[in-house]
Amino acid sequence: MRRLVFSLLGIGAAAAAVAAAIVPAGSALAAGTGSTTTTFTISTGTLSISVPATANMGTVASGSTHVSALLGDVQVTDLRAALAGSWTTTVSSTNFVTGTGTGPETVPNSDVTYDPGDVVGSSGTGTFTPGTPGTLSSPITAFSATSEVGDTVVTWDPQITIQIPAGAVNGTYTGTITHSVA
Amino acid sequence: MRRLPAALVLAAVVLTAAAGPAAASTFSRRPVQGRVGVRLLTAPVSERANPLARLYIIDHLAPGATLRSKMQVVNMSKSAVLLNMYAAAATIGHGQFMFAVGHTQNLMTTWVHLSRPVLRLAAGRRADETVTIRVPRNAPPGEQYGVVWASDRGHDPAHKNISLVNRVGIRIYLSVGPGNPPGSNFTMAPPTTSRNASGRAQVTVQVHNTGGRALTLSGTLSLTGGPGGLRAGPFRLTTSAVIAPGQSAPVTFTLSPHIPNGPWRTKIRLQSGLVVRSESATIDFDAAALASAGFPVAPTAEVASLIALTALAAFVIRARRPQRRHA
Repeated sequence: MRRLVFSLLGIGAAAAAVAAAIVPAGSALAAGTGSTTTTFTISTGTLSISVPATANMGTVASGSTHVSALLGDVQVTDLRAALAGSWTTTVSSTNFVTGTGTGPETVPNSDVTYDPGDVVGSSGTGTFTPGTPGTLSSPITAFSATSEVGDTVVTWDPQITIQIPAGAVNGTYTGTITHSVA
Repeated sequence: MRRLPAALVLAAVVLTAAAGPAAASTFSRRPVQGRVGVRLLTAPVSERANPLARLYIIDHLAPGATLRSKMQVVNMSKSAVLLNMYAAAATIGHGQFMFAVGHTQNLMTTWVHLSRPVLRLAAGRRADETVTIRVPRNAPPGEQYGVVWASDRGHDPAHKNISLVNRVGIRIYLSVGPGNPPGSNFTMAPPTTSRNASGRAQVTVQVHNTGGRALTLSGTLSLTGGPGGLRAGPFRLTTSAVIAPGQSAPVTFTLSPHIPNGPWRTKIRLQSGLVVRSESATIDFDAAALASAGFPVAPTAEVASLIALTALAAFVIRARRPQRRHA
């Protein structure tokens, strides 16, 4: 009789343990007590971007109004293999400064224009849309992908144009342009 | 009849395939340096059926709860990289998910903890990272947005004058509130048509997010019953459409310039995660033809009142017509 009771208790405990494991996350047991949500594993590829490490705009004579150059290939590779995937790449810029960055030694980012141009190369299925060219006084969309089916690769070669302020002094102006994709 | 050499026939076949639409590949013009990638490794079991949960960190948490999400960072370049790892704010507006500049924070991103702010990865190596989001007990209800970034530090501009930083990230859509997550829902206004500057037929639908979670829309449009019995599609949505609760945004399908004006019967199906809505309508891409046939291209008060006046005039004329037959 005692053995029977013991076995019954054993089964009961095992059943309770199984029940706890399959309680869905988001229920009262999983939330509100500081406990962690139960997760499952995803196996997909990565979303990645590659950009040339640095770029040189070249030299212009003082008195020029602007300087323009192609940045080099920017490539976004989306290997997440989604059924309806999408990504957006935005671009932003710092001011360009020389010397100590005083007024005449600064070209503000509102004088920097980014034009993504059309797709240079692509692979995979999706709609790839260049952003509207504009100044980088605040971040703008460089390129976006929508309705992707499976893996895609998109490449573009943006043109950077810098309007040179009338009072800018001679020197090598440096700045940072950031591409963000998510 | 001479048989073509096998090699020539094969070349012809390959050329034809490459000229096909959509799935054809073209390669970038020159090699690019440095590539850093991220991917999500885990998602909450409660979001298992939601395909978006494999791309983004999506969850609904009660105040006091913690979410631990795993992601992986991969260095696919030929040299080591030094990455800044951090969470930063994002907002949703104008149909887009918009990243804030740099390290800008919002309330939710202050709850995000990463195990290390700087990650050094040798060439070809990858590392796992745990993203911990601790929702405080006094957290306000509602959904907030952010991104977990892996940012390639700027390079020394000693010889080149533009440093290029690239950062790649995983979006966070975090909903806070007690109990079950708010439902997702949206409405679709009747479609409007146009042709863009290149002559491409366009169909636009205004979508209103009436639910409690952000929408990331995808969808298809089919055309049937067109001129000569033509049918076309299904075509995929060509605009990105991320809409926060309470917001409205237009989504557009841009079709070929060769699509005839119509009229067409159209069925439009939009989907975000697990929520699907569809609508059917009769459309025409020629605005003038549509207006004269009585279908407003874009419903306007003037068109509606003109139709009403025309109907009233017809009624009045009919009532006043004299009897033609005498008893």
